[in-house]
Amino acid sequence: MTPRTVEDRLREEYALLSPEIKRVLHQLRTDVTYLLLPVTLSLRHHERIQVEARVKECDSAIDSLRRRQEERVFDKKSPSKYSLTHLPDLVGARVFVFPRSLLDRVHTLVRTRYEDWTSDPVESGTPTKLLARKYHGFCATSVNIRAEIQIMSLLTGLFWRVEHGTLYKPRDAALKGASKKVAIGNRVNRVYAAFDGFENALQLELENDVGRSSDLAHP
Amino acid sequence: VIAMTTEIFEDARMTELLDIERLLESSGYRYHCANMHYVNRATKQVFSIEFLEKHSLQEFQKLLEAPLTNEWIFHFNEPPSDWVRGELIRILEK
Repeated sequence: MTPRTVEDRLREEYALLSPEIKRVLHQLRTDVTYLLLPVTLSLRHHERIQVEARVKECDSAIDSLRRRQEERVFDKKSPSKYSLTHLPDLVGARVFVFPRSLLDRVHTLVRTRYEDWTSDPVESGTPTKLLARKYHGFCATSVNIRAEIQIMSLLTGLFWRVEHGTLYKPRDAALKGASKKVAIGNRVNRVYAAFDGFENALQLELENDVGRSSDLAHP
Repeated sequence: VIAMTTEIFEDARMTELLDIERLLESSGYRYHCANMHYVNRATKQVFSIEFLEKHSLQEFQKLLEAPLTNEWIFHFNEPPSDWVRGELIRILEK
C-alpha cells in the first residue's frame, strides 16, 4: 500500500476541521460587520465599507504551510509536526474602506473588540508605507482555528486582487520572481502613490465643499 | 522620537537587505522562486530568505569568503533534517 504523505495527513486534518472552520468564518464575518454597523449606516453617497470573509481552500492552506517552513519541503520523517492549525489565516476577513479618511475610525472599532490579537501590519517601500492593518488570533468559537483581519483602503484592496494573482502568487512561470524586480517594485509603489494623490485631491474637494456650504449658510 | 528612530532603523535594515541581495547576485547566486532560497550550484551553497533576514552584510561577506567544500551547504536558521537535506539536494541537482 502507498504510504500516506504529509499532504495526505493535512487533507484529512482539513476535512476534520471543516465544521469548526465554518463556525469561525460565520462568527468573524458577523462580528466584524456588526461592529461596523454604526459607521456603515452613516456613510455618505461616495463612501464605502465592504466586509469580505473567506476560508483558505485546502490546497492553498497546505501550500501556505509549506511556504512557512524555512526548507519549503515537508519532512516526511516527521509528519506530526505539521498542522493547519499553525496557520494564522486559515479564516480571514478583509475590510475595504473608501475614502482613506474613514480608516482610523473603522480600525478603532474593530481593534477594540480584538485588542488581544497579534498585530502584523503590511508595509512596503522605503521609507516604509503602511498598506494594511492586519492582526490574527482566535475567535470565541474555536481554540484551534486562527483567524486574521485585514483593514485597508478600498483602492489598495482592489489593486491587490490583480497584483497578488499576477506578482505575489503567480501561476504563470514567467511571472515568478517578477515581484522581486526593482523595476516592478518601483511601478507598484507608484500605483500606491497615485492612490494617495487621488485620495488627497478628493479630500481637498470635500473640505472646500464644506467651506463653500458654510459660506452659503452664513453669507 | 521613538517612532522616528524605529523608522530610521527599519529603513537602514531594508537598505542592508538590498545590499545583501546584490552581493549574492554578484557572487553567482540566483533566487529559486519555488523554494524561496538563493542558490549557487557551482559553489553548492544555499541561503534561505529567513537566514538573510537574520544576518548582517558583514556576516554574509565572511560566509562567502569561507573556503569551499564539495558538499552542499544549507545556510538556514534551523538546520534541515537529513531527509529534508537529501530531498533539497535531489531537487537542486535535477
